[in-house]
Amino acid sequence: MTRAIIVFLFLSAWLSSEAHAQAPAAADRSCDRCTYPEGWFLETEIGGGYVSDGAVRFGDYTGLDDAGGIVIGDVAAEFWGESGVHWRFGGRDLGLDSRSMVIDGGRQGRYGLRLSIEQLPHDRFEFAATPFINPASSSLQLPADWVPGATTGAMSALNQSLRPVQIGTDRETVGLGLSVVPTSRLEIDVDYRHSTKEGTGTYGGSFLNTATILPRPVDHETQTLDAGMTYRADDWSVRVGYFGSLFDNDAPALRWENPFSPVVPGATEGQAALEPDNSFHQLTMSGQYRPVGHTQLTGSLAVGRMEQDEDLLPFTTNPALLSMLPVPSLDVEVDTLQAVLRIASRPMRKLRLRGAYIFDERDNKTPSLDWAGVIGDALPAASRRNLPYDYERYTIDLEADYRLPFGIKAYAGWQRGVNERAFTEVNRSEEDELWGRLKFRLGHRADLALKYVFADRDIAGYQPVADTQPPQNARLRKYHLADRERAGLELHLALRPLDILDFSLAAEFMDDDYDDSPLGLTSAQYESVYADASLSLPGGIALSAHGGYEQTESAQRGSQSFALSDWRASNNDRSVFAGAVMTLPRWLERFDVRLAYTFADSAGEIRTDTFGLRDEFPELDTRLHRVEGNVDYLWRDDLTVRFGWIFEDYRVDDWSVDGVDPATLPRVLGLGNRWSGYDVNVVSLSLRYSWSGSK
Amino acid sequence: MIARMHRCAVALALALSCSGIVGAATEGAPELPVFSPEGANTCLACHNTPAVTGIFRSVHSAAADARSPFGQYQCESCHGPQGQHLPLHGDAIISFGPNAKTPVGIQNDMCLDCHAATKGDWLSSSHEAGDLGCADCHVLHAGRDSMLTVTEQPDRCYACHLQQRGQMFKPYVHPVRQGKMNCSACHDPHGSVAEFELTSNNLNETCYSCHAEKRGPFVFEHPPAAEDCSLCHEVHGSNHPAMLTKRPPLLCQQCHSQSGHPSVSYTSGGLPGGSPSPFVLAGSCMNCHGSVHGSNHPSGITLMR
Repeated sequence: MTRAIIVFLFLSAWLSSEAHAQAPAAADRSCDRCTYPEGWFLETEIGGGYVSDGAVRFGDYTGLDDAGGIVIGDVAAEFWGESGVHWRFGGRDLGLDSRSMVIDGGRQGRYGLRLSIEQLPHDRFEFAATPFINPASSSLQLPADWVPGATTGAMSALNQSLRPVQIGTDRETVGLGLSVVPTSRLEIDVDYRHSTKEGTGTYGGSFLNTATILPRPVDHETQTLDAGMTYRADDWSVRVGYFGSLFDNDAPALRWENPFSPVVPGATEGQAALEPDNSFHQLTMSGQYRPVGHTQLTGSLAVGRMEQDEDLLPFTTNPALLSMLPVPSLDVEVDTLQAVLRIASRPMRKLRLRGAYIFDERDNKTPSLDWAGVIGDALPAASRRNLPYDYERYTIDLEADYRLPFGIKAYAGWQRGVNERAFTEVNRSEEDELWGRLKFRLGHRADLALKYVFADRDIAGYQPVADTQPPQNARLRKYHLADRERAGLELHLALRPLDILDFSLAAEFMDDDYDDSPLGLTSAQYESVYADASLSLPGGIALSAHGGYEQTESAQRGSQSFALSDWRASNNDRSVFAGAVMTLPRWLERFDVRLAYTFADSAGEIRTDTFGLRDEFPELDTRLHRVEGNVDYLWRDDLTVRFGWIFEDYRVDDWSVDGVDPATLPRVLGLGNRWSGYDVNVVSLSLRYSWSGSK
Repeated sequence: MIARMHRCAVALALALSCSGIVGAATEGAPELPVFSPEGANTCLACHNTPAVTGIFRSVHSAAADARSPFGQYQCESCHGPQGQHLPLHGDAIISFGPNAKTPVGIQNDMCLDCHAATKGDWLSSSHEAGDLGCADCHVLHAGRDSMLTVTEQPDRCYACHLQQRGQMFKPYVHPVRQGKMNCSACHDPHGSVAEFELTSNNLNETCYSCHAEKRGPFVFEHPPAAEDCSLCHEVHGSNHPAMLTKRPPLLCQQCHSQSGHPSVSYTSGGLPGGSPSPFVLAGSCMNCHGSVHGSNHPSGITLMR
C-alpha cells in the first residue's frame, strides 16, 4: 500500500508541473451566471454507535460482527480549482473493518489520477472448533497428547483439545489509476490493483476412508494491470490494451497430521496442493466504426495466456509409498482467444437490426502425462493421465425489432451456439434459440412487454470418457452436455396510473426438459414474480414497497445398482422477499426521516424416492427481518444530528450443520461449524457537517 | 466543434418534428434553429434552480475541457440551440429523462455524440434495444450521479431488474446489499463484447477478476469449473452455501454416477439422530474432495489433494 501511495504522489506532482499545465482551449463564451465551484467543499459524518450483540453473519462484509461500541466516520471532500482542476477525497465506514477510501481527480481533459483502498471482511461461520494447535498454518499440528482413533469417537483427547477457530478472510485492495489525454482524440488509461486476501478457510483432507475438515491458511496476493490507449476519430475509434493478472499464493501447500489412526502404515501425515501461483496475460484490440448515421460495426479481439508452473509436491508424504515424479513441475498453459464482431443498424426509422458473431477458444497446451499417484496418501493408484481440457465455441446472434402502429413494438431473434470440447463425453453440441417479444406502450401510463423463448440443444453422441476411472454409468447425461429443450416466458408491466404512483411487475417462467437423460438432471423449472410500487406525496414524502416470490424446482435420477435408474430426487428452492421504504423530508420543519423494512425467507425441500421408498429431508430455512431507519435533525444549515437504528432478526435451520459437532461423523473430524440465528440492534448518533470554502 | 454544432441543430430540428411541435410547418428540410449569442447566460436567466445549477458540480461543466459541454456550447451542447425557445410560448428544446418529450433515440444521440467510443457498445446493448435513455439512469445536473456510486447504483438497476433486488436478500450472496459491490463490478450496462454484457470477455474471466485463485490452470482440472462457473454457482444469490445452485451431494450427482458412493441415494437417514453420513453432512462431497476447482497435486486426479 505504501508503494502505491508513493507512486500516486509522484504522479500527482509530475502531472501538475508546468509542462503539463497547458490549459486546453476554453469555451469562447463567457458566462456570468454560471456558478462554477471554486475552492473546498467538505461533508463529513462523525459519531459513535453501539452493537447490541456479536453475530458473525450480521457482521459479514460490514465489520459489525462484535458487540460493543463502534466509530462512525464518513467524509467527502472536494477541491475545485481553475482550468478544470478537481480533486475528491472520499472515505466511508472509516471506523469499521469494511472501510474504503478514494482520492481521485486531476485536470479534466488533460489527466486524471485515482488512488483507492478498500477493505472487506468476510466471516463464514458463527462457530467452529479444531484440535489443531496452529490453525491457518501450512503445517497443521495436533496437540502433543493427541490420541488417534479409528473413528472420531475413539479420539479420547478430542474434547479437551478443541479450540475455537474463526473461519473467514480479510480482503484489502489498493488501486492506482491514471488517465492522460494528450489530445482530444487520444486517451491513455492505466489501472493497477493490488489485492490481498488473508485469513482462514476450510479444506477437506482425506485419508482414503477418513477425512478431516482442516482450518487451512489463506494468504493470497493478486496484482492486475489494465492499460490501454484509445484513439477516437469522428466515425471510428480503436483501443489497444493489455490486461495482466498475477496471482501469488504464499501458502501453496497444506500439510497436516492425521488425527485418525493410520489406515495403512505411514499414513500419519497428509499434504494437499492449494491454489498455485498463476498468471494471465492478455492483449486486446477493439474498435467501432460508424459508416453511416445509425449503423455501427464493433469488433474485438483478445489473445491471452494463462499459465502456471508451480513446483509439484511429492505424490505422497507416506514414506512407504514414495515414488519419482515424472517432472518436478508441469508447464500448465492455456491460450485463450476471443473474437467478437457486432453490427447494429437502423436502416429505417422503425426498424433496428443487430447481429453478432462471438468466438471463444480455450486451447489447453498442457502436456498430458501419466501419473502413478497415491490415493489419500494411503493407497497406490493405477497410472492416470491428466487431461488438457479445452473448448472452442461460437455464437451467432441475429435480432430485429420493428415499431408497429398503436405503440406496439415487435422484437424477434435467433441465436445459434456451437460448443466443441475435448476430453468430454460430448465433442460437439449445438443449440438454437428462437425468441419473440412484443412491447405495448399505452401512452405514458403503461408499458407491457411479453417475451417467449424456445431453445433446443442437440448433442452429437454421448460417449463416456475412457480416461475417467472408475467409469461413469453409461446412461448418465451431464446436464451441461445433454440434449435439452428450453421454453420460457417473461412478462414486464410498468404502470403509472397517476403522476404520483408507479407500479412495476416482472414475472418469469422457464422450463428445461432434458428429454434424453436416463440418469442425471432430467428437468428444471424456474418461476418468479416480483413487483414494485412507489408513491410520491406532497412535501417530498415518498413511500415504496417491493416484494416477490421465486421458486426453482428440479428432478434428477440416479442408479446405485449401476444400471437403470433406481432412485430419483427432487429439489425445491423457494424464496419470498418483501420490503417497504418511507422517506419523510422536513417533517416538523427540522426532521428528515427514513424508515425501511425488509423481510426475506428462503426454504429448500429435498425429496428422494429410492426403490419406491420415499424420504424427505427437513426443510432448509432462513428468515430475515430487518428494520433500518434514521432521523436527521437539521440543527443548522451546515449541521445535522443523525440518529440511526438497525434491527436485524435472523433465523436459520440447516440440517447439514445443525447438531453436527466435530465428532458427530465417525469418519470425518469436522469443525462443528454452524450458522446461528441472532437478534442484533445497532444504534448510533452522529454529526453531519458540511462546509464550503468556495470563493 | 462545427460538426457538433450542426449535429445539435439537426437533432433539435428532428426532435421538434418528432414531437409534432413544428412538424406541419416545415416543408422539405427543416430550418435549423440558431444558437443563443449569450449561451448559458440566457438559459440561467430563467433556469437557475438548484436542480439545474447542480450541473456546475459535475464533469459536464468543465469549461477548460474542450470535450465537455461547457467547453463547447454550454447548455446548448446537449439541449440544442435556443432558437425560438422563449418563456411560456416558445419552441421546445431537447429534454432528457423518462418523461421527456424528446424521443429517447435523440436524447441518446446527444450523449453518444461524445460518449460513443467510451461507453461500451451501446447500439448493440440490450438497454438500447429496450429503448432506455441515458437520463433514465444517470442524473446529470448533480454533483453526484448515483449510478456512479457503489452504494446507490444497485437501487437504480433494481427499478427495472426487480428479480435481482429480491435475489440479493437470499442468504448466500455477493456483498451488494452491504454496499461493498455494485452491479457494474460485473456488468457493463452500456453493452460489451461478452454475454450478459459482462465486463470481461466471458463469464469465467469476469469471475477471475476477483477470484484469481480459481483460475489455475490446474494439472488436474474439473472441466465444468474451467468452462462456466455458473454451472455450479448462482451468482445473484442462492439458498445454499457458496452460492451453489443446489445442495450437495445432489449437485455433484448430476454429473457423477460411478459405481459406489457417487451413485448412492442419500436420504435423511444420514442426519444426526440416524446414521450420520459424511456424504450428507458438513461439506458433503467436499469433505474429501477438497480441491473441487481443480488440483495441482500429482495425486490430485480425484480432487482429493
